[in-house]
Amino acid sequence: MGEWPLILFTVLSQLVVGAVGTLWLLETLGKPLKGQAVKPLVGSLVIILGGGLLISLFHLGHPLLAFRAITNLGSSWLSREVLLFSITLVLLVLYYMKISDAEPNGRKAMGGLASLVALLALIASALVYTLPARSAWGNLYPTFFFIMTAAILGPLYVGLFLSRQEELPFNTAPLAGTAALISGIGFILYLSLLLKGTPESYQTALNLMGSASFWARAVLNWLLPAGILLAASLKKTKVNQSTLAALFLMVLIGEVLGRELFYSATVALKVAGL
Amino acid sequence: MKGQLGFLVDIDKCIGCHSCEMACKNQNQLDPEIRWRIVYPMKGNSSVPTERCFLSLACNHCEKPECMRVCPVRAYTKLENGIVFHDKNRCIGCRMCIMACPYQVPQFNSNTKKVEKCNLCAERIEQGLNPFCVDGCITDAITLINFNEFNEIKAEREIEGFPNPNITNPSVRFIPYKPGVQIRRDV
Repeated sequence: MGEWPLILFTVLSQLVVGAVGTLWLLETLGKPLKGQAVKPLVGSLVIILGGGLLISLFHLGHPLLAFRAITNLGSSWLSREVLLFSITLVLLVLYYMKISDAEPNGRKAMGGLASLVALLALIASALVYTLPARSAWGNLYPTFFFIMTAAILGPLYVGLFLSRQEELPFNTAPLAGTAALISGIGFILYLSLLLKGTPESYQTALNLMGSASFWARAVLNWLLPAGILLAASLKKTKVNQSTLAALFLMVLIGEVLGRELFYSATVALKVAGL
Repeated sequence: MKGQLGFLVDIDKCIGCHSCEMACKNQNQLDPEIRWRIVYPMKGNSSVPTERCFLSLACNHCEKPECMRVCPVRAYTKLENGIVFHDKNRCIGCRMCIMACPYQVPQFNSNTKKVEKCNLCAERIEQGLNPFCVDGCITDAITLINFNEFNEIKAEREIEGFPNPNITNPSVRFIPYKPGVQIRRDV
């Protein structure tokens, strides 16, 4: 449980990536949303990402020297992650400043640019953990799971934020439900890969399945959101705001539990064997 | 000195006395919880008796060091003689190298809040001396080698219990344990 700054930073930053991408989709596929509704949403994303970056400093032995962390862009994914998320934060601030009802096209372009850089930052973040020394991470799954976190949390957050204020061009909640379903299925495949892999991977799978957090996450993060949102989507009924709020909270807790396990359950290569 | 320095560890000679570990710890004045060299008891099997075999490991000064690749502050440098040198002054304690090293070599010092590891006694090597662990070993089980000149045919790159060397190409070789001949005498 010693990685809390990283757990919170990764989950919050992925929420922001998912939310800014969802917002851009809404603005691109439908008519421009009202500036007074979008501005507080983007403002909240600035606060969440800024807060996440600030929290991540507490992972360092020397937080005040964090500015040095962008000095190895040539080979370190951590350097690239820090730089790309910092640029995302700046772009979100510019996006926020550009929001007005008078000029929707400019802000759409800024939203697109912010979404693109945010997505690159998320991929860099996942590649930080794609390490050969940790066979459970040394594959495409960290990237897949980080994208899924963004795809579940982002649409739920945007849907919750805008549901009272706007007539949206499409309902964002089923996106989150589909992502939850894909994430859950992906995790089953991941577990089977781990069980077939090296002794360290096998041990990681046992650690995951033996943890109560894993099963709590499975319910909160995959089963309930996928079930509720996809059922509502099939019945063509709109999920009300309080259900959406409850789902967002459940998923957020599920993602935090899952990320805690991501760090604590993974077994590194061991000298002299397991 | 140019080339690629590293260690030759003779498992047949090592008796697990930890002298190398202690020589390194004392001479480099390491904090109590830190060990730059560690003697691991090897897991036994039909050819390796558990009570007999040990694996003495420090930094392997890899050809492709993962620590250097992932470090965001360029605290690691590969010197001309192959030593992977860690500069404590640049380290910010992000622990990325700890996650990436397949041999668990870098260690976090909770007092300095920075990572540290074996620098192969780089200053002593400059003076033509051996690293402390090599001089401290009472059975001559550890030898400093230069891979440009090294051609010991008994030495092996892979040994049971040592993580996959293909990840980083570590600069360490092992002389494996030779099982002795046991003579059964009828009484």
